[in-house]
Amino acid sequence: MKLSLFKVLLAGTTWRTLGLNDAGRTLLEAMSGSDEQERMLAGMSLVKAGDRSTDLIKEAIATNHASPAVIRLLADLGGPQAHSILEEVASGEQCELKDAAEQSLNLLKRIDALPPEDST
Amino acid sequence: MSYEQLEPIDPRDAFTMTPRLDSESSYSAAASQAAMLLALRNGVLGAEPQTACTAAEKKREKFILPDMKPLRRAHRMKVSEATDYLGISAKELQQEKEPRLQDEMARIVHNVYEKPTIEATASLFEAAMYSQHPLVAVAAAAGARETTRLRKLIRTTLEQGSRSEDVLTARLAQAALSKIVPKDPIVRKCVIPQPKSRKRRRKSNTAVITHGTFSSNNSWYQPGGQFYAALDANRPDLHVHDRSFKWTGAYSSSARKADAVLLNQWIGDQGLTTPDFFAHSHGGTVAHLATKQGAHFNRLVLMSWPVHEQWFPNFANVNKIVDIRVRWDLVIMIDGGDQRFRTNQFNIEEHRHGWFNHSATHDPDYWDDHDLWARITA
Repeated sequence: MKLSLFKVLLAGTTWRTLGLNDAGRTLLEAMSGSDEQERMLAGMSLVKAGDRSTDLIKEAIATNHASPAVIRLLADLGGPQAHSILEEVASGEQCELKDAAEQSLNLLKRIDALPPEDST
Repeated sequence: MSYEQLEPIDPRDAFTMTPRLDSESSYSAAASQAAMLLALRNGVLGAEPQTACTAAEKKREKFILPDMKPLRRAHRMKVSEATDYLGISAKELQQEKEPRLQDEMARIVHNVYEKPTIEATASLFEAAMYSQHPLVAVAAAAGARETTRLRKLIRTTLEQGSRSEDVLTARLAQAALSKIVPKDPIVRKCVIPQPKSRKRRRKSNTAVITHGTFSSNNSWYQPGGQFYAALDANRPDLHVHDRSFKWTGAYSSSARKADAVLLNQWIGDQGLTTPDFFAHSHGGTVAHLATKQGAHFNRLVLMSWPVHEQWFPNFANVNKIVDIRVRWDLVIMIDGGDQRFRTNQFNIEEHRHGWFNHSATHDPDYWDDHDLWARITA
């Protein structure tokens, strides 16, 4: 089912301000959908919500609700927790998620390799 | 059937053949050689066999491998030692003619079945890196990475393989590259800023297209995609480049900086000098950051770029900027960027039509409706 743009916008605001899980799950669903604009809105909202979204993604992985696009968000969220989740997924057996996690870890390595003034 | 059916060939027979990329019939031989090399690599790493089976199953097994246990490495050997088993130096190996190389590999494979040793395995990796089939060369490079130190030949083989048009080769090379975790700054310096590879000799100023955030898997910007095809049809004079630039699509500013490094390298690798560059959303940011590292663009066509002053381009490296956007772009609102690209430093040509829809600006109908094809002038 295609989510409406309004629903994604509302979910983004709700997730960032109140942290309601339903709103977060709506964003994860939009993130895995085919509508580019909805995906961008959902992804940006999830990244801007920070650690809260890392926990949400961890839960989605545990319940088999995570897509490769959701896994890739962990590179944007950053931090030790996101990194360790990525390593765990990369050593797992779900091929698509594993690929996404490996690509994200590779991106984090490339970021680490940037000159100091460029890495923030 | 859209995929190629491969048949396993006993490695002892497979290595008597000389597979080539342009020969479909020899692909099974290449795949069997690559599988053998990767199995040996696993042996070097001390990994358990992935296809453990009973004695009865082993009898029926078509692809029988030697005992890998003796291959477990104690340490990495010198490159000069890795070719000892061949009886020639690494330099001489480069000059070796193909038929003799293939004979040598076949001989080593037989020996590995008779008496598996790390020395024989290492020399097989060294020789197989010169295979004419990229799948075999990539598998050998992944193996050589584990028997010797990381070096230019391994890196170049994997880099070139990762760009191969053969999907299996590209995936294998990418997987091998992702396993390389540099431990010291010198090695890191060698590996992360990827070396120029598959460099095109012709110089070109054709138009290149790229995507925005979270959109690397979209088709519209890729050859055959809607916008790509429409741009090619409406503006044949721009000679749209036969590849589009794909970056991670990640949202953090540090990720975009890392991708700008890749863009800069990619432009050189593609033989482009001062291309026109069509970028959607934060693909524009990646382009701007690339200009700060030396990339030059002729016409930079920004579609729905979220305006942030800290990510303005190096204007000296851009001949013209065409800024296409809708009013009150919803995605830019969430992003927090400005909705207009205004600066006293450069004359920006703005085309603002429509409302809200961030994706509209790469829709060919939008370009038709607002007669934008003709607006990309010199």
